[in-house]
Amino acid sequence: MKNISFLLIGMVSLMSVTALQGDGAFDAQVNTLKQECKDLIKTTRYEGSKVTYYNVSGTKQTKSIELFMFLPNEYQFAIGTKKCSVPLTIRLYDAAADVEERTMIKEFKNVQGKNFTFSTKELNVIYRKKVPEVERLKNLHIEYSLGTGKTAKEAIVLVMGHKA
Amino acid sequence: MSTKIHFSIPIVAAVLFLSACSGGEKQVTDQQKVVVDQENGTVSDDQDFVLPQPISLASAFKNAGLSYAAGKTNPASNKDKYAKKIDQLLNLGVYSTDLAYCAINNKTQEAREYLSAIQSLGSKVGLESVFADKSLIEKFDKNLSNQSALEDLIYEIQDKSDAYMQDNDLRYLAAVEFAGAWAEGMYLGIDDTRKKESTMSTAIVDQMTLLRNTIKGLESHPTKDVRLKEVIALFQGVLNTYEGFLTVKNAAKNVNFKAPQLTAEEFDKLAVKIVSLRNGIVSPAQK
Repeated sequence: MKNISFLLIGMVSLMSVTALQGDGAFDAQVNTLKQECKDLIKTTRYEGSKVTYYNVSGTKQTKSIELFMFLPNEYQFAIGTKKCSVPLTIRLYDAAADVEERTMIKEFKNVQGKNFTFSTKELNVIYRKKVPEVERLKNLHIEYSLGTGKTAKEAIVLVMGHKA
Repeated sequence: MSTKIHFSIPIVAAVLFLSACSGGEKQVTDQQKVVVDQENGTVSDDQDFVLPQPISLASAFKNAGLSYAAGKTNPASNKDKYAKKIDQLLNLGVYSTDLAYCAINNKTQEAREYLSAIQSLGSKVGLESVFADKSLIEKFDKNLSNQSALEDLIYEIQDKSDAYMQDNDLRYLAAVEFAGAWAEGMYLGIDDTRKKESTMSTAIVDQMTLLRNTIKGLESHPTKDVRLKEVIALFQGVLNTYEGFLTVKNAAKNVNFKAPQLTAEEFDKLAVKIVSLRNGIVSPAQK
């Protein structure tokens, strides 16, 4: 009985160690992705980053990130979705979901599996056309709309910086 | 929640297994690794945020007309009087703002002292690998006459610090550090609202929009000790006061629209709260 217990614990442990090693590899890939994003906006001063982790499931889900741009400088953003396999739409808003009169500034459809950038230079032009009374964006809400898929742990990387 | 349960069962088994097979010292190491990996397994909040760098906040104030006032910052010599981890982290943030404030105002000698204080406090809170770099001061000295290069260096330090905290699941430390940085910035800025009302008051109101997330960040700290609770209450007091102002209640919820124009009386009330918060951070009561 004692031997069986040890065998069971050993088997479960081996599985766990494998899972943890898998996690380590996943984290390393996310770090690589983050570095790729940094490289995409390397002419800027680093302002911050956020790795959004999620579990893919049979249900659609939404994740959002609030950003602040207090300087009048151009802010650049790099998003890495190479660790995202499900259909992904990214929408940029000027306010949180609970603000009734929020404006969608831009939408990126089916952007899973790639790295891309955008900046406040282009966003401000669009925003002022939609909402003429504003001067510029100081607060941005990025919303990730994630589709369904096979159960897996995935991540989306965001890095932001501003030009000196 | 389901994620935590999913990971916790094999982790307990792994700990048992490793405990059975390992000596005492190795056992601690493995358990620590398992805990870190378990935290990596959690999913992100549905609503998250990225807080700006302290030097960006200081620069925004400078753009709005904030002038340098000697003697307003927290003296670097105070660095040794912070015994509790929370106070060390908060004042690491305070010094980050002071470093930025001096650097962007060309007070390089003072900035150098703050960099040294940051290295000292940074090492105390477990960020040795970021701040113990001896070449940091050398790089700083090389760029003393080049303000832009100094600012680049400060952004670089923040980048390294952020990366270290994210890689090691220590983001809650960054949140406490930011809280101290925010409080110091507001303290340095609030007096100047009387001198340059139109621009500085907008900058102050802009940066008030960070407070709700700052409090969320503090609340994410896994340790709920008495001092942390006191600090959260101080920040919450500032937020309650601000959100109680009529001008704020009547303003648009979308912060990209026109910022609320606080009355002189409201600014005075806010200033009292900010000064009290900042003093509560730089001069914690010894218990």
